[in-house]
Amino acid sequence: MNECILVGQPNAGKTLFALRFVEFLGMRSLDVTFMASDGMLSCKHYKVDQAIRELSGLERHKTRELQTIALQVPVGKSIRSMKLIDSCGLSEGIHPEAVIRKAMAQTLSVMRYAKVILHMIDVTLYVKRKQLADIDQQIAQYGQLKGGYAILANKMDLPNAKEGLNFLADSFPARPIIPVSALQKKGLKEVKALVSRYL
Amino acid sequence: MEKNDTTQRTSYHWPEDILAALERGEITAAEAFTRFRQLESVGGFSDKEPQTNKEINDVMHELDALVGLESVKKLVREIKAFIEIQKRRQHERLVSEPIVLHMIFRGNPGTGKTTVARILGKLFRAMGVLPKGHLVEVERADLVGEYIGHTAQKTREHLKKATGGILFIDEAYSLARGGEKDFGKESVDCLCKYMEDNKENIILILAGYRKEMEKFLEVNPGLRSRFPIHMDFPDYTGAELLEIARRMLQQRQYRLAPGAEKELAIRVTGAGYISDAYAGNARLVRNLLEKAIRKQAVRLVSKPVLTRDDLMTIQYDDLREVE
Ligand SMILES: Nc1nc2c(ncn2[C@@H]2O[C@H](COP(=O)(O)OP(=O)(O)O)[C@@H](O)[C@H]2O)c(=O)[nH]1
Ligand SMILES: [Mg+2]
Repeated sequence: MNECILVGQPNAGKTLFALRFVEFLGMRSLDVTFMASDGMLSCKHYKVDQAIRELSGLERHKTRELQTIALQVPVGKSIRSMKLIDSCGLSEGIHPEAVIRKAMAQTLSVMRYAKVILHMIDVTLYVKRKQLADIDQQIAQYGQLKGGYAILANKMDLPNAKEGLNFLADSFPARPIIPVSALQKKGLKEVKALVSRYL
Repeated sequence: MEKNDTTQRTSYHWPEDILAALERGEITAAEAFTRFRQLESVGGFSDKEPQTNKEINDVMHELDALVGLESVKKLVREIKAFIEIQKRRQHERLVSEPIVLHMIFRGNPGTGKTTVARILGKLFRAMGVLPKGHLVEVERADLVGEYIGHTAQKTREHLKKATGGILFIDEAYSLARGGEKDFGKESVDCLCKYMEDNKENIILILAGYRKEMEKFLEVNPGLRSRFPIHMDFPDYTGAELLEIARRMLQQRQYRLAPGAEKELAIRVTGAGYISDAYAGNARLVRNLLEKAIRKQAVRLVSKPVLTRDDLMTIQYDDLREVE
């Protein structure tokens, strides 16, 4: 099955974006399969808005395990299935919690197999700070080795977001960058077009 | 890896070693990526396509063909992927997680639990997880005895029968009935011990109503970790029940007259007077159809001339007469 994984630092907006994308494809409800770091699997059914309330949020590392959503994506006249995998954020440094470290390892292991890697970056991180976080640098370098890789510059709705976006464009001249706002549901069509190319 | 090696000096030969180091907190995620890239540029490994296997595909088609049950289907796919990856790891002589596949099925009667269990048996055999993959269905009365020692004997007997395949315990929560002194507890202990001793050879599925199974796990907290996979079987919707009914009839080479179709829809979709009885339950739908088939036979048997069409068609009256 075609796997597409959303990766990036905690709070970049991966979970919200994943759910917006599901909504954009016309689904009102979804099944999320959770794979805990100890391999335990469970599956839960959500309405989209309920999933947004329960799964995405300000708390760092809210997503502590791989969350897989199976999707049917219309591509031209046909319908392709794909798995959208929301992952535990990759943070800098060594995380004190074993569960989070394990979840990060899970994220990396899926990146090895995934067909598409969507690298989510909160642009407001780079409004003041004009140095790329090591982890974003590394994700980009690794992602580029794989066929389908793109940067999603998220939170474009916030003030000065443009500055952050420009910084990203300068830092990654050769990679596709799609400006998005998970909050305001912007850029979903573009992401769908990109993902469709690899299905 | 030696703990006190600096990450600078440690070299990892397999991606899994890198992931393990990340997990242990020896390297950061960013470092893990660097290591990955080093490894991949050396061509240390390649990812093979998982082998396609006709038998496995056939079983998966059988699963896909079931009406509804979308979240169950998805979970089965996840489990299949997990097994595949563990097998590939074994193949590459990597440490592989023991695959624990004991499950809890939660849902009302007639929601597809046994059907899915049977398909899983076939899948696990095809994937080489279970040697035989057959399904042995039991309930409390098959496992629990009347006197001391009797329970262990009865339980073991069924465990032996199921070895190589799946032991499916329906209404498993009833094993917790009657509290401490009840023999049900003895049966649970016996099941757990056997599971430990025969890890590679048997899979247990505990099935039952959602609420009751939750309570059962609360009283037996030790079971939760032994049964890591939980599947929920929602009630079928009216539309799904109709589809199930259509397929059942088609398989038996019957069809519904337009009036009968409408009556069936009323009964299963909740628009009618006795709908609650059928709500979400495919087994009741089957019973209903079987009774209707018998009514049709009674209606036809005294007629002098019968066409092929007569023989195939269930009329409104055939259905209406089934209470
Ligand atoms: N302003 C704004 N906030 C966002 C956007 N996307 C996500 N957020 C917020 O960022 C926080 C983290 O989002 P979440 O999806 O949980 O991030 P994750 O850790 O990457 O999964 C939440 O409070 C979101 O509401 C966006 O496009 N604009
Ligand atoms: Mg998240």
